[in-house]
Amino acid sequence: MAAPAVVLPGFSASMWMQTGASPTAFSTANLAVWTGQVATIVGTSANGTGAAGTALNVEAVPAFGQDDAVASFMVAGSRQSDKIPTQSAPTSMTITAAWNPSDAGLLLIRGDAYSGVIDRTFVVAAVAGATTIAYAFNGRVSQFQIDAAPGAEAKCTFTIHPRGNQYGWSNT
Amino acid sequence: MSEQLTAALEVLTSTYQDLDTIARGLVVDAAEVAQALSSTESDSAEGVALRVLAKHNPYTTPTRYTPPSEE
Repeated sequence: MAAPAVVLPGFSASMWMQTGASPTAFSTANLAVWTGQVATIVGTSANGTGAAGTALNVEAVPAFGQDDAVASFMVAGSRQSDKIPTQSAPTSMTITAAWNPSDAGLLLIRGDAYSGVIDRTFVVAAVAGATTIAYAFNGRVSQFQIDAAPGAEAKCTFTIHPRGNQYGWSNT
Repeated sequence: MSEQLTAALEVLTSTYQDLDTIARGLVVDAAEVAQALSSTESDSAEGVALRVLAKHNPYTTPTRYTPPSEE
């Protein structure tokens, strides 16, 4: 993957997702292509076109990426599993957003979570002026929960599970 | 562009798997990859695929050997 070509001090970050109930997620190569691909998901406020994407108004996104991990394999009836070290295992992103039942993006997320098998392209865009650096990845959503505590603003929490190796960097 | 490189690009631009892993198993002409890379838009799926192919098939332009002069 191409690394970001510029450094953006003081950038603002935003999150975007493909629209459509059954989207066709980008191929691995297209996740690293800004023009005509990632730019169509990122909205105009982040220097994209937004023709095929919508903003996901999130409050908090955890650190994410890929790191070493261990895959465990268990044979039925055995007492001990095999632990196989793997490199570059993707981490999942558990995201908190203000719950708005009219928000098109959150409704798509809820539908994805109910399905569990919809692959969708997500983009995290870092913007400073006319320059955008985008991290695009494919993922599936699960664990959508609404916290409707009466004493506070309603929130929803969901987890995006990135598909292994399906990510790319691009920039304007 | 040769049929071999065209097929390799087709695979790399449409796959959902790791590009490095796929590119390692594709047989292409390094010189042709280098030539195609120089004339392809870098911000395109083909550009991404060619960069991965070039990483695994490096090409150095051959230079004419000049024998040392006899004194």
